[in-house]
Amino acid sequence: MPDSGRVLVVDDGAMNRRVLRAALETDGHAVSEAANGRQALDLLASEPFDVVLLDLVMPEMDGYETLTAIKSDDALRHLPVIIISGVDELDSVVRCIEIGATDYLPKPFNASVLHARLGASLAGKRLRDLELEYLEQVEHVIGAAGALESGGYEPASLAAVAARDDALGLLARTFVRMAGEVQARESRLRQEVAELRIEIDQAKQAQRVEEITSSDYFRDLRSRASELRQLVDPEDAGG
Amino acid sequence: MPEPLDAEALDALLALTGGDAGLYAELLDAFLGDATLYMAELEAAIGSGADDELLRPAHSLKSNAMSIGATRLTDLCRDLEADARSGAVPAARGRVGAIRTELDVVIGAVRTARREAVGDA
Repeated sequence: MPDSGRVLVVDDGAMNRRVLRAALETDGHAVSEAANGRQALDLLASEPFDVVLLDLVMPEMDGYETLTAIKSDDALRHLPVIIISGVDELDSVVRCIEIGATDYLPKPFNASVLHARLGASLAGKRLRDLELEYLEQVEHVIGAAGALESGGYEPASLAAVAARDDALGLLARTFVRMAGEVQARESRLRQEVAELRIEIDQAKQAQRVEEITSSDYFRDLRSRASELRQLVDPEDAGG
Repeated sequence: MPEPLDAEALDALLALTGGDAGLYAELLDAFLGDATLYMAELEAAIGSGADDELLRPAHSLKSNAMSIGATRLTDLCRDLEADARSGAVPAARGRVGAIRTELDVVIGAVRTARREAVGDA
């Protein structure tokens, strides 16, 4: 049995929608229905789906227009679309596959064929989702490297990637550890530089005091201060 | 003359429901609703002279007829569809009466099949 998925059935016929819903729900899928392409696009814009089963001949917006709209939309173009088609409509199927349809489901429906084609499309969708997630997490690692360079690195930014149990997770954990070491070393260096600055400032101050107190001017001032004290208070003249 | 409904197709439809007679009856009801609507659209197209509106209901009725094994109805709709696609509009218009006649026979047979499955429920 394939993984269960969220399936959108698009068909103007209530009977076809009901048949497909019954078969799909038996396989554990969650099913939504649309009676034409416009309804389908509205649903696709408002909630996520894993596969679309699309009839071709419908009122308002037919299957070709709907498929073209899906494949022109960056957010939807990777969504698998299985065309629902009569066995005498292979030309239409070929045209749809050229537009980007994944597969086709012949009418009248057969549960085994539906099961197999939906399973294959869902597996493809899952693989694509994993690939996208992987690429996104690689971007996180690259972003963290840039942030480390510019001083804005936050270890928590890689928590999700580091939790992976594959090579990318190992890379992220190694990066987090090494970045932590780099940050700790930078912090120690900053502390040492600050301490050195204090020592330098203190030495400079001592040197300045020494320069001032050893100058003739200072000695002269000191001598005059002593004379003044003597005049004011002769008993304190030696102070 | 062959039966209006192919028993194997009906068995396949029942198999799709997992043997659920209630759901099977629901599908037959859905056929009756869809077929009545498509037939009305065909007749409206004839009445209004909207020849470009013959193709879609003929196609949809053919698709539903195929699902329940209504072979003669399927063939009649397929012929109308082919005529309409090739621009043979008078021929296409001329087939609507035969489709109406056959659909009435099919509707009777579907009602019988439904009664046999679930009684009058």
